[in-house]
Amino acid sequence: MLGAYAVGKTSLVQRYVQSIYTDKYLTTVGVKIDKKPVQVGDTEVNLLLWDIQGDDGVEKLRSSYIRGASGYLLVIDGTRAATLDTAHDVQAFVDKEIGLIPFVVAINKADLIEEWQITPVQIEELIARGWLVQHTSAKSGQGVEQAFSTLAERIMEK
Amino acid sequence: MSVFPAAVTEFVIKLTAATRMLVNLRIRPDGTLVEIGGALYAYGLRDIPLGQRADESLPFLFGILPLEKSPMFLPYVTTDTGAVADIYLWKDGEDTRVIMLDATQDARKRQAIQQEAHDLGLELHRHERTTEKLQVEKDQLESLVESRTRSLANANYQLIQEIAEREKTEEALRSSEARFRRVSESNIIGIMFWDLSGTITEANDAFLDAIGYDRNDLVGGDIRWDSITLPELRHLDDSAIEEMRERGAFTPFEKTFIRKDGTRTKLLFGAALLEGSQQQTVCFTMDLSRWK
Repeated sequence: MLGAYAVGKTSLVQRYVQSIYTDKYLTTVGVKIDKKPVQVGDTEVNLLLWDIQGDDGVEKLRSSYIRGASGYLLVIDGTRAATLDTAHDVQAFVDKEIGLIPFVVAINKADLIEEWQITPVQIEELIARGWLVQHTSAKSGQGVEQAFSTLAERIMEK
Repeated sequence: MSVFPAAVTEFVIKLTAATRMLVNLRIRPDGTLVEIGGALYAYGLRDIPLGQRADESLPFLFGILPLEKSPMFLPYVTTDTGAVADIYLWKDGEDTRVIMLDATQDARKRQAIQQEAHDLGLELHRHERTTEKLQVEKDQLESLVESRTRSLANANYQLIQEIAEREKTEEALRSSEARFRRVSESNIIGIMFWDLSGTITEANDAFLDAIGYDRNDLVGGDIRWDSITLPELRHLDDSAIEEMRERGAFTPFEKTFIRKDGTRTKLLFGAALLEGSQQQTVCFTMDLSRWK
């Protein structure tokens, strides 16, 4: 789980793994690892989800956290334009550190879509770059299952 | 690099083991766990089997063995017990050594500071959004005020124009009334106002004199059209009224009026409907006998 701080990485994992959600924001320090079995076609695989602390940029992102990653969910907060810039930086950082691996962009906080600063044009630009984009809401659960399933499928395809 | 005496090294190791919940692991190149020890309970590492793949029991090892870089450091890894461990991995010959050291207190302090910083960042973002919204609302309001002010200025200009026009009209009316009053008060001709119901509402002295009445009679409402008109000649009035309704005035004719004392007098009589009315008329009379 990668992205700027407070974009909802921990909330997405909690929603996906434990089906819970809390409004209170609690920053993540370091990394928390969760496990979730997921069915990809006929195969059941275990997703090991590394919920990595977010920051404004990539300066504090440790390459040791992403060293063994098979793929990642790149999370953006739709209500904060700056988190898109961070997502671009993170994607470039991962690409440089461990090479091109599958990832899915989760534009989170879809329940607050009226307040989004990320515009449809910007989303179109991401799609045009070949990025897989999924609108998610950890609060309502919208798109969460799809985002992780898509990521698992992409990893298994590789 | 300074070399510490064995006693110092031994003391530091004992201190670290006692205060930082040291756990050590040794893993073969094929990923098999061959050694495990230390404060396993602190991190919920119970029943970890030796001789099996280490990453099956210890998920933080998945994907990173064999090590590409040595040493490797995974700081602040939250374990199942909630304890936070700093994890160090390095190559020891063919094998990989792993140690875990408790970093819970340090993580909590860091978490508090980081929380503060992130909350502040979010608050700043909210503040910026609010400021942006307020600026948009302010711009909209200013635009609305500007538009209303423009409309108001236009309305004001039109009002000034209308007032000027009205003053001009009133002045023309006053001038016209003055001219009419001058004609009426000169008593050169008889002038009176009459409505088609038969009431004479206004008359000058020349008319009153001609039919033998005075102003008191007029004010008292004693002069009515039918009382000064010969019944047998009323059809002439009817024709005149019809003509007046058609073209606004009728052709003057000599009409015999009944004076107050019962005597008769012939007056040249003409009338026109007042502008905008089908009932109110202005009439003039001339005593032709004075000119014969």
